[in-house]
Amino acid sequence: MSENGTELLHEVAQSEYKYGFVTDIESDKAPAGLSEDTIRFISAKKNEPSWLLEWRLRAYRHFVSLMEDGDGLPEWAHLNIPPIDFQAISYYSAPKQKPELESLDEVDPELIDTFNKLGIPLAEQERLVGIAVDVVMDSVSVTTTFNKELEKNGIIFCSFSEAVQNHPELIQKYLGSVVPHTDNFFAALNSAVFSDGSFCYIPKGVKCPVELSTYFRINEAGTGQFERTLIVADEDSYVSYLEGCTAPQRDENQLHAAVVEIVAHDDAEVKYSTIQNWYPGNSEGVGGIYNFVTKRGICQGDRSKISWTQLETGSSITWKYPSCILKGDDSVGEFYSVAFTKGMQQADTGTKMIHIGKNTSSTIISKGISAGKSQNSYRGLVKVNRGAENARNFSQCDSMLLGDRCGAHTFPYLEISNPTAKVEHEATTSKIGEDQIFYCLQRGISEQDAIKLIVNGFAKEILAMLPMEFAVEARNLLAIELEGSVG
Amino acid sequence: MQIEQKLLNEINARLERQDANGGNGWASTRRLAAGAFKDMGLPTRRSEAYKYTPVAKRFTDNLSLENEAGTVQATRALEQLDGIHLSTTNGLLDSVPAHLPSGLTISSLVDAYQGNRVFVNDHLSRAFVAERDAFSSLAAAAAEDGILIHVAANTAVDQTIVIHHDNVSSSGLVQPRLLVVADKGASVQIIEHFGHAGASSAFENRIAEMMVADGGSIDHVLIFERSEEATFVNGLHVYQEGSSHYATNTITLGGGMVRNNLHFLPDGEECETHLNGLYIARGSQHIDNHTFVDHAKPNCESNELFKGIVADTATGVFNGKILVRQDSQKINAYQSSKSILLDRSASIYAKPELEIYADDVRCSHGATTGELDEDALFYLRARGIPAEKARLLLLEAFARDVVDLIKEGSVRDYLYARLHAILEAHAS
Repeated sequence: MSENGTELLHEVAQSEYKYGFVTDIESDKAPAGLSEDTIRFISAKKNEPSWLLEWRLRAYRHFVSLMEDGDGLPEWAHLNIPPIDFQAISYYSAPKQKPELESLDEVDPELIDTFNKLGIPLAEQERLVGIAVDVVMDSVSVTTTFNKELEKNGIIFCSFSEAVQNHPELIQKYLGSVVPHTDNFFAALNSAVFSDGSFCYIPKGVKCPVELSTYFRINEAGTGQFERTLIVADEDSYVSYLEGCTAPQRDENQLHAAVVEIVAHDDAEVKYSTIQNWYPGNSEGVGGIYNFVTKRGICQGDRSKISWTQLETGSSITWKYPSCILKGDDSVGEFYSVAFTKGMQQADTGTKMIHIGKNTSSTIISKGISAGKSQNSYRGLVKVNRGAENARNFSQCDSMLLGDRCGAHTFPYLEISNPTAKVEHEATTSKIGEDQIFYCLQRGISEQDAIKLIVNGFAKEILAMLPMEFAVEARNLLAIELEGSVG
Repeated sequence: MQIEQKLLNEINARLERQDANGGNGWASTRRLAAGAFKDMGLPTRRSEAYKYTPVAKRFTDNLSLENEAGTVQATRALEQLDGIHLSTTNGLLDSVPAHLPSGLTISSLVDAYQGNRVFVNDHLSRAFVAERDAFSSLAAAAAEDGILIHVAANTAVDQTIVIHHDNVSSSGLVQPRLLVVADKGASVQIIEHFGHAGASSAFENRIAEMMVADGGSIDHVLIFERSEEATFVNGLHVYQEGSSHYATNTITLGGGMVRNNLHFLPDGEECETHLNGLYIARGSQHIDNHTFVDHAKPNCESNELFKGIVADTATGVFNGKILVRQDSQKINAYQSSKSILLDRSASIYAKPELEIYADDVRCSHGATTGELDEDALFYLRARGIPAEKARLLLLEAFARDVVDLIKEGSVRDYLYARLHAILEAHAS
């Protein structure tokens, strides 16, 4: 890297300290530590009904029992997870500590640069970096028009806290029905202390007219750490839900443990897309987000469909397996993923497809790209139960290595208990072919651009699954991520 | 767990008895292995490597290292095969064949140790990593004797070595130990047969170490046909030096609970490793093939093909791991696992793994599980072949793919006949 480049990076690194994320705002914050009192405090703050408090406490007790068994953090993942002090975290803080910035001039130039490359409009840039948006952009009214459109269709789309107050019957019915608090270590933690999240209900026969996105909901942006999302698609409905955004997210929380639950009834279809670009830590692997997410959908009804698409480029540790339980007959599960790791990042991500109903089918396509000293693993389960007649699964996991200090790993689990099942899995690991590079160079394309081109081609299949405007941004994001890691 | 301590006590008693008799053999590596076993203990269902195979459950509290003596009176399969025939009882060599070609040594480990301590100490316990495998550690700690097959440098043994393994101990843990060493440029072909005759409820936990020096070659076939009450843990540990060739074909047709732990360490450049396997699990059999290829050096190639047919209430497990270490560039590693489920109460668990730390490699794995190809069935039926017969034909063809990779024609013929008999019996 050139002198200038190094200087710029240095500057950027400095600027983090300059603006810091330590601005002391008067906030309603629970003292650090985790106990039943913390849970009662959170529940009381949010004015929750007693059944929800009980539910949280049950989850907490399970979490404590996991800690006491000496098991704690599960160790099966191909990750090197530093010990996490759960007592050092403050589990409730409203509003979040966000940097209070006056104008874009104060923002990290690297961020602005990235925004420009991604083609994000100026006004949105300001919102994303946490500048008081109401000054420049009437986002409230944008949100309101949007909400009216949804209301007209009977769609409920609100924060989790609002849903608890306004639609307790729906929450009580579906909360924890797909990811019970006993599911895993982080699901237990999340169930005990979740701060907020999103709730979405699509009524019978309604096709949601717009892509629902956390992006549209201002109050959503600050509820990072222990988020809980619940999406219920009633019979014959459709919704496309988008989480995250391409812009780099700087967050002061090191530990993220989110839970996403999706329920799809008869003939319903849910398409869930994620772009995850949390802070990955610096080149030595210091800092960065630990992203431990439990995402699961259940195709409850016949002919229902759940489709997960993800582009994972951020976080220092990613532990994430968006899954489908194919319970309804003729139901369909899909998982499309691109995971890019560089620097010291570690990702262990994949999916689970559990075939229970008859004639169910699932498709898994996972592309892993590793660079630098990163470790990128695919871990996936395909399970065909005894009664799942005519189940079909096709899995393809391709890994690409950019450099000789990184790792690419594949850990598929196939558990088949029905003779009519057809399950196919294939995986390859390779690097960019020298002949491919040569071909590009010959045509006057620089090596840097050639690599971008080839990697984009490698991931194209998946990116094409994203909603259109995001597909474009996702492609740009991948190109930007590549810039720092090859050549 | 009680049983672990009981076995360790017996091992220690054996070691002390041996010390008292003056000859300490390779006691130090046995003590190391015992220590490793003590630290690891028997794997539980929570151990990732044994999550589908509860073999530790077979270690009942009254299990002992003491074996019953006796001899097997039955005609042996492969007896007619042209080659050097050896037989073992409870893992120990019955007798050393009289006329061996020059350059080939076959003896008990104890005799070999008395003849050349340095050689045995240099080669024993080198190919396996005690800390990695509780069962092999247990066997290495317990076995007081074993078998050595040594081929001297630049010797090509053109006769196949056929080992007939008999087991007459229906109680007690039999822990045979086998060491095969092919020196520089040496080549040898070994066929091991675990027959049906003898004790029905045999429990064998064996450790086999095979070492191939520069430019050497070992061709290995194992056929396991013990009864449905038998338990078998097969620890095969292969160590390869540069430009060597190693091939194994593990055919598991019998046994109630079988776990093949097959480890390969090509620790030199230009190595070639072929690992193939076939299993047919019927009744309530549980057959597990666990393979691990550790590509420690660049410019090597490994090829893996495992096929399984699972019927009745049986369970088939396959776990294949390919590890390419950092800087092991230019590795070509291929793995394929195919299985067919015949009945609704049968299960298959497959976990093909790739762990890659070098970029200039070509690695792939494929795994399929399903029924017979409908189109192929239709094709045969359209030609007037009844459905039953067509299915049998296709199943045999599926299984023969692996058998066809065996060099020795008469072994192939023997297995073709066995496959036919087994699959036909299941179909009717």
